[in-house]
Amino acid sequence: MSPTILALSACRFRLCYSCIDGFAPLGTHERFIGFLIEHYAGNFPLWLAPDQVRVLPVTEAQMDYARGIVNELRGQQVRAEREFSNDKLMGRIQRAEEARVHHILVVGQKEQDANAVAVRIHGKGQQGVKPRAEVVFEILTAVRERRA
Amino acid sequence: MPSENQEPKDRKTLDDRAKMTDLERLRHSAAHVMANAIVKLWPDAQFASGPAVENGFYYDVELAHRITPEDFPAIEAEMKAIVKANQPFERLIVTREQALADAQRGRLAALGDRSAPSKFKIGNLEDIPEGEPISYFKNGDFVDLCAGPHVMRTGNIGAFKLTTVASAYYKGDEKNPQLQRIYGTAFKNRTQLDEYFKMLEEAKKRDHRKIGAEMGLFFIDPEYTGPGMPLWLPKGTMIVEELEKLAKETEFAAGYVRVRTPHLAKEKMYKTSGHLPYYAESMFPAMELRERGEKRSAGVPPAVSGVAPETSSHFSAAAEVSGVTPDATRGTRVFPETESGAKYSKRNLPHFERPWAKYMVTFSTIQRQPLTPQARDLVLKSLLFMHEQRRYELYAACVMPDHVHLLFEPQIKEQGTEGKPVFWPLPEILHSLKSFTAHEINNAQQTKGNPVWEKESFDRILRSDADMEVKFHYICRNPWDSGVAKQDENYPWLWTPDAPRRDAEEGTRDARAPQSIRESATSEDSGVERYYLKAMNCPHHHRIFAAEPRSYRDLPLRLAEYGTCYRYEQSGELFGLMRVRSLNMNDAHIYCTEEQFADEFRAVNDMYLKYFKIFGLEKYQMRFSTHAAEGLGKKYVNEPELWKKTEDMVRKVLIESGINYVEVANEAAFYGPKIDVQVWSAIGREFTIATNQVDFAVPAKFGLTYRDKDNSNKTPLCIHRAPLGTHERFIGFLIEHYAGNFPLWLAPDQVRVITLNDDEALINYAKPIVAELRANMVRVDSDFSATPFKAKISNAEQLRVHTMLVIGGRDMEAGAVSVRLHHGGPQGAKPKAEVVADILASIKERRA
Repeated sequence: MSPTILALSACRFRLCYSCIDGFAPLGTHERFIGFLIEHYAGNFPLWLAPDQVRVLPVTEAQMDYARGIVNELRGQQVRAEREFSNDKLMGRIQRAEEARVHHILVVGQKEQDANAVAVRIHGKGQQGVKPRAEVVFEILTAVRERRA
Repeated sequence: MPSENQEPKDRKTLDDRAKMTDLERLRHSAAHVMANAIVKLWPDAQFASGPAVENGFYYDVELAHRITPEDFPAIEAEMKAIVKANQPFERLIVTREQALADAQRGRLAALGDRSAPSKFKIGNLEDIPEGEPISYFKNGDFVDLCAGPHVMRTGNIGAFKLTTVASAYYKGDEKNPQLQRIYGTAFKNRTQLDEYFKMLEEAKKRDHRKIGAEMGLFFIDPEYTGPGMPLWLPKGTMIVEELEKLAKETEFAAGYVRVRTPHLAKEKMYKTSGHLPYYAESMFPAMELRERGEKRSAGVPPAVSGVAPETSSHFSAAAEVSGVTPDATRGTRVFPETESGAKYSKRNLPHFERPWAKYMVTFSTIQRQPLTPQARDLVLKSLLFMHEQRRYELYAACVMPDHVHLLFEPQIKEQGTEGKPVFWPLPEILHSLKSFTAHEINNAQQTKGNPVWEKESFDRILRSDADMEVKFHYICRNPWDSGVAKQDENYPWLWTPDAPRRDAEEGTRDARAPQSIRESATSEDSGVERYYLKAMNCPHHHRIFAAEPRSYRDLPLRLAEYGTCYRYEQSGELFGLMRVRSLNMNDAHIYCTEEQFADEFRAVNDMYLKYFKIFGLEKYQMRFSTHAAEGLGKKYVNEPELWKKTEDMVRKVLIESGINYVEVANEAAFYGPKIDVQVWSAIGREFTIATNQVDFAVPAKFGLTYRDKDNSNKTPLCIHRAPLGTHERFIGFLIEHYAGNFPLWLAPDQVRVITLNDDEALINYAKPIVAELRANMVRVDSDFSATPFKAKISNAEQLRVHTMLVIGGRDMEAGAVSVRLHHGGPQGAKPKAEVVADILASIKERRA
């Protein structure tokens, strides 16, 4: 991120001068979202991200486990989806990163057995394996509180 | 309800007549009996037409006596006698000559010959096409020109009643004589008739216009907003938003994605969809935009006047640091901020301007048509001329074959009031540039008025040195990065301050230029674009489908939008929220493969059922309209297999889901079968709230395709659906359905906390309850005033507050509240926490 963008992040789109520079009244979706796209360079915070969560089962054996997580999140209005294909896991992760999916939850047999998920955040990389309930709670809280 | 402006429908065809229901036959027969009775009482009455209509029948009559409701008992008494006589309805076929002769003798719609001819019947005869049989219907002595059908005997008319008198022109044409229109209704038996009038009575009490005004839900303001365009008041908006929330949650769960589209589109959109010309009369007339590159604001002096030519001393200074650093006097690292000098200029898009700003500007040639090298020369020369004229300081310019990039800083135009400098406005600069170069290019090519540039330009204020540097390098590399110039060759139409200034120095035409700029100010004005207010959302959604390449993996794609549409309904047809000109539609379009169709359609049906349950709609019916083979290629798109396939699938789903439906052949839409959803409100009045449509023609017209597994391109099927119809009609329906007493989740005023009196302890106990409910998004308010308690309750009841939480000393001591429901009365005292939890659960579950 450039220094300007960092400065902008600091003020969290309060309408300070450096934010409105060149954008002025941010009262329309058009202008405001135009601004936000630049402001976040497309890497929106979780609550704003079009693709909030993507769950990637490592093998077919984790399909049901992954579906359960997706359903739990979608039941709370989280934009979550599951992706499974014959592509290698790394390929799928990369695709999710390219799509700027905010939270990428990888579930393999180990995670399933431990009722856990491996969390990866777009742009920040791996966050380690955490209990499923904790991750779900974290996601819901971040969305509700509109965390940066 | 009958109304003055209800015009007779076009003459019924024999086909229409064959389809008349038993009840319609009965009512049409009642019309004959009424005419029979009237002509008995007033023998010179002249009758015109007497059809069955929704909820009853009428007959138009010309009569010197003005019939009023006071006359109804006498007419009804005569009718009763005729019904009691149980006369058969006899059908007689006659020749046209015979019919004319009888009409001349005044015999038609009469009991015998009369001195005056049956003049309106002569007119009606003219409307009967050659070859169609001409028939009379006769009961007793009463003979009428009529194609039927009727019931067997007058005695089959179980129960009837006259309702109102209105006026109407003969054949609905105001040039024709004005007639009295006598309305009545008839049923198979007395009970049904009584039920009908009871329902009317109830409907009157529940009239959505009356309740809407009482509750402050919406406001129609014909003088300012326009007729048929409701303004949603705050309380109405609360209902609107609850419905949208319901739709969004439901659609989210069903895997829809939401989109948003503008309210206008170009003519091409609706020509492609076929709405133009076929639907044109239901659309608002076009807006014609004479598009200009930039609009010159009134009163701005012509370009370049009064600008003193200046030497380009800035060049050297700027060039030292490769032309990117702002000059020393204004040398800041981050460019100056917005101040009072900032302003908007309105063109097609808002553009932002401010003094001492540096801009990157890009504009393209019309439809990206390439410029000839000669034209590029002309453009570059003009760019440099403006720089010379000190209208801007140019930092970089590149004239590409089909677009132009510029980096510049507008200069001071004049000293304004209060010593503040006035800068050359960006729109004016761009307008001058574009119109002047367009003019020059046309001249050089010996053409006139051909558009050269796209109307819009993209401008962006540069925020910082770094930003400027990025843009500068982008421009400088553009010819090579884009492959327009080879790596080892020069690109002659790229200019930077350190580049040789050959073009500018040639300058033989420059002396003439300012004048030309002025003259050519309107050279781009010739193009007229037509825009329409959107009458439906589907074409926009089709364009969204087309916006990205689609593969079978993307399907089904379900695009949802609460889209606002505008339809030009005749002013006479506008009616409260039921018939409007602006409508918010619970719209979605599902793009799917043939294999996915059945499941998608089933899911749509399930959604309907879910909604019906939420709104307590026990009686509903789906009216499934199918095609007819003979209409293929004419009335229906010529896809016999698809028709059969989709109709079979729809039928199967309807049967499987156990939905009450009727199938009507030959009533489908042009592009596919459709399903109208009819519901009955709590008082048994029928409403058509929504239509589902299968569409296998329009996606093809828009060229929509997806890449299938076998790599071939296929056209998707499209399902149009709008279960909640439009906010306008649906809320109009709900108001009647609930008589304004909405369930908690929909009620504009959900909860009011009322203290017995203004005792401070009570208020302190009540306040946190209000706060807790508000924090949970409950629409709650309070009444802690000293007003007598009974009056407080009565106020809340009048306002239709759903739940009243009453707090007295005893409640406070017990940590409780006394609950009172609007239309439910006192429910007793309950623990505070329990009441709050119950309210939240009721809202969340959308309890009835």
